Amino acid sequence: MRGFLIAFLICLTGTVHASDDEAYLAQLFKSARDQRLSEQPAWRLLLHFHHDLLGRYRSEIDDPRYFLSPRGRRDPSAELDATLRAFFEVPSISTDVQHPQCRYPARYAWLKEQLQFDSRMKERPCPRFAAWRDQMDAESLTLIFASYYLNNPASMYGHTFFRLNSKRHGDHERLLDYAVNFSAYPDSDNPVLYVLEGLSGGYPGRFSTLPYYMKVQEYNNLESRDLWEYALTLEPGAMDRLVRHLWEMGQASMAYYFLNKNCSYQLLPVLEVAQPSLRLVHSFWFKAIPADTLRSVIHQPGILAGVRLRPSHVSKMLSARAQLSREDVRSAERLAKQADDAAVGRLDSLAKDRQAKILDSAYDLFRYRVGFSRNQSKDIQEQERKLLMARHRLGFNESKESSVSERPASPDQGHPTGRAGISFGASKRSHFEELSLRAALHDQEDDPVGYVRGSQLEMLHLRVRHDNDRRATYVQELTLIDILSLSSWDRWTRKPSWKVRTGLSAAGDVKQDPEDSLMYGLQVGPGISLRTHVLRGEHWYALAEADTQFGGVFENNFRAGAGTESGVIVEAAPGWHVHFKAAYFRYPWGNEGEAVRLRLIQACPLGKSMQFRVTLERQNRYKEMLFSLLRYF
Amino acid sequence: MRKLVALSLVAVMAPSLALARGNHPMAGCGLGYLLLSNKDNGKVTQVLGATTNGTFGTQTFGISSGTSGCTEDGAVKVARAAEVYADVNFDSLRREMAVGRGEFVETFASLLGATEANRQALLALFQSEYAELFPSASTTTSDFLSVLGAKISQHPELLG
Repeated sequence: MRGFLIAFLICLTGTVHASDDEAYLAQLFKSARDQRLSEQPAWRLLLHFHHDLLGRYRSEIDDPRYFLSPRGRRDPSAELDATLRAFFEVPSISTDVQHPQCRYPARYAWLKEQLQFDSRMKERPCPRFAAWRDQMDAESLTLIFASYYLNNPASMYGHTFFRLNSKRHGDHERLLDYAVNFSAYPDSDNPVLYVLEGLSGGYPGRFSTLPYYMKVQEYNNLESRDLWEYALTLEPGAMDRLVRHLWEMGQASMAYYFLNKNCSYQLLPVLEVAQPSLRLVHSFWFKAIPADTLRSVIHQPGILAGVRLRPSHVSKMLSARAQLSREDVRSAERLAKQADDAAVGRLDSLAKDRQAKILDSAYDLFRYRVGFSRNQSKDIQEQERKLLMARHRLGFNESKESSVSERPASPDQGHPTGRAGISFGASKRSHFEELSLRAALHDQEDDPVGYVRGSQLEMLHLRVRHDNDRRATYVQELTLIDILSLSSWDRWTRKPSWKVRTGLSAAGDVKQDPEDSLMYGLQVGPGISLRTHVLRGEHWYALAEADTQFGGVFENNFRAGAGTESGVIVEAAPGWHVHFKAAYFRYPWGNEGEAVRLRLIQACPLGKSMQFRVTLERQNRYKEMLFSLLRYF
Repeated sequence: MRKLVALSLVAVMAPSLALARGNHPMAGCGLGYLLLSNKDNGKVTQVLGATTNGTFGTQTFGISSGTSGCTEDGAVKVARAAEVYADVNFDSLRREMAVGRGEFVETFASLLGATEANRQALLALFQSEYAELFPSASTTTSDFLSVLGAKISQHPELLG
């Protein structure tokens, strides 16, 4: 009987507690409704609510595990109620399962402040969140841009991520800070699947935090890319909100869309949670190019505290080489190629600091050639050891490392990524107007400031013409992708140049009206190029290309062949470029024939965001002249 | 990342290092082996490379992804900080310690607990003991760390 009474009393206490909670919860619901909390921007931002491309208002997070309410993805009010209720949950016995207060520390902090939680809301300890937050120790934020890398389609546009600067680390210890990165988790190595899934949201994307030194090894060394560090100043309280929200985001996966919901885009909603006065996300709909997201952040008034360059291995290597005499450069090359005792012995007669410079450059070159992978042959490992031991024997050298001599323009200074144009042209038989629109990014005549010199990357470039004499409107060009990577030949880096171009265009060299000569073509080929400085800078190139074209304009509906293309791009004055190119192609298959193509383009800037061009073109017997006004946006 | 006191470094590493002697590639956490080879400097063959921007290590370091090996929810476990740093940056350390100067080795000195005052002395120690720290071309991170731990315990005045 007594046992029964005790049990009864315990149950009663339990139910009293439960009904206490229910009562408080009801009160909180009412408060939340009175204050219209679920309509507040801060709550919407925490849930990543936006209008999608179809105009639907819902959360960008498609992972159902992120929401406490089954309607959470579409209904901020339901999610808020479910969140409040979840905060009262009894903690799970398993240490692997976090309490909702700990899974959602940003939501908890905000609701606590808005609703003034009192002791009736039992505040649960969050050891995992606390431990991670303590490791991050985030005092300030830096936005980092990894420069363009044309050899990997996912990296052609660059990449952005955050670094959380810790109070515990001095300015020279930034390697120990944590980086915050959003990336896709592809489950396939197959390059075709990778491209298709990446474009269509087939891969989930998630946030991770990892030591900055890992990113520096990956970008500066493995990929030889520069890292631009943009230090940001945020409002008080922003870093705390950021860190709380990042923890929430850890469990949320979001479909990764290479074109718009990509690595650089996803940093923006998180930044808006940290500082709601920032309006960043609204400018990015169809495309989110890292340089654009970078600019949208750093152009916010008062946010940019400074820019620092962390140069790539290649940049440092070439900079150090520039300080060596010709003879010493040759010595370094010999050592990098074959580091034997004889080669090292030849340095003995030189002054110690000269020896040191030669050995350092030899190591730089050696490292660049063999790569930064851990899988090196025994022979390579031995060679490396010879170089390092020779350098070691010189003794302790206190002189400061020389930094990169000429800092290139930072990527945020590049022209905007979209471009529209209006042109007037004439050929022997007609006059025409042309409208053009290019989604991305940069061609050989656009101002190269902030871009990789000699690189051209165009995606979705449409040109439509209206012929006044024949009264015909037609597509002159719809290029899907056009890459021309011209790397100036250097004895040390030895990078080849190459070209890939595919899309629709009017075959200009055949004897048909352009509106009847639309074809789909693919041109691919390797080449070499060289930069000289006879005047202000000239870039010479030569390519060998295979060319395949399909279209009704051709006999047998196709033609295939090969040819060469060479040219020179001259910078006649700042921003004013002259590009001359000549090509000869022979098509032995399909519609047999040959084509001689010449083109001369002159481009000069008009203010900060416009350019004027005159283009003279000749293809076999066809000649045209075009005057264009281009606008970057 | 916390700075560590040298003695705790030696104490913590000793048992795992005893197990991980020699050229075992997965010694310790194996995070250094994330730096594997499918990224080349400037080779055209990587045009359709199956690597997404920044997947290097990102799955291991997912925020709130739980504990595994040397990581915990997206942070390196404090006790393994020096080991992970040395493993990931091993090639850079091998180069910079030969000279006793450079960002990676200086940061490593801080990570081990050197103060401003004795950092130079610690760097000088790295340089003077270089041949013992890296006795052969195939010295692994764990070999290096055990020798380092021994050297530092002989010079406790250099830390903290």
